[in-house]
Amino acid sequence: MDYLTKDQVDILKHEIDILMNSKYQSKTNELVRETTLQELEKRKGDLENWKLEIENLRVLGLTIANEPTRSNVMIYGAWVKKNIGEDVIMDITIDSRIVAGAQIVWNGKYKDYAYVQRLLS
Amino acid sequence: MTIEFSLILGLAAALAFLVWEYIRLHKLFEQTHNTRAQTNEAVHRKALAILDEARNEATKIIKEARVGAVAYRDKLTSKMEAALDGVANREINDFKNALEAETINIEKAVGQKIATRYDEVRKEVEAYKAKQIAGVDQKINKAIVEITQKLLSKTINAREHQDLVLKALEEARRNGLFD
Repeated sequence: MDYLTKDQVDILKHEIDILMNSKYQSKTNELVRETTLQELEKRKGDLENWKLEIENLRVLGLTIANEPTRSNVMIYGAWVKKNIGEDVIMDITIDSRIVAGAQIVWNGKYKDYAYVQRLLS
Repeated sequence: MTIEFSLILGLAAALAFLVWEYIRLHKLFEQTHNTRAQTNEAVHRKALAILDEARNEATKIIKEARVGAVAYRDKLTSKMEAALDGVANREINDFKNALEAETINIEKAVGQKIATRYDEVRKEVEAYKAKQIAGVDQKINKAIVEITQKLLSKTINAREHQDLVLKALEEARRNGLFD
């Protein structure tokens, strides 16, 4: 299973909200609407649980120097799950000024392991 | 007859005496008259001489007085001129000194004002220069840092970036960030 970053989780959460609300506002074809409503009713519990889980996820702030590939995200995610917890998602920010390494925010604490600090100090 | 004669003779003698006396007196009168005339003439001449002399003397005195007056006037004029010159010179000197003193004071005040203003302007310029230099330095430093960062960021390949991120995470774990 793909590891999801915070951005992706936010999109997912938004989509779940849209899905849950759409059953009352759908203007689509009646047959389609009926089908959708039935499907939503079946999965209502799942959706609510997913939303709850999403809202309870812990966030690791990670600023890195370059845009990560999907492979990079998977590797970082695997490390995070293994070393911090399964319920942790990464909020990745790109800032090329840090050159390399990472700036990390966890539970309101900030640590700078960017290489620019080592180069400039 | 003798009496008569004697009378006549006496009368004749008296008459003769009278005539003689008259003649003598007449002569005396004339003499006196002449003498007086002469005297008058002499007196007149003397008076004229005295007058001439007096006039000459007066003329001389007047002339001398005039000369003296002229000399005195010249002397007085010279003295007055000298005195006036002295007063004028003193006044001029006083005025000059006062003017010089005032000029010096004004020059000093103006000089001091200029010096103060110059110092202020110099400080302002120095501050502005320092600020500008600091700004330029900051911009240069920022540019250098940005260029360096970009160059370094580019020179590190994707794998190295990944390793360095994982290294940072490991370091944070070792430092107890996730505890």
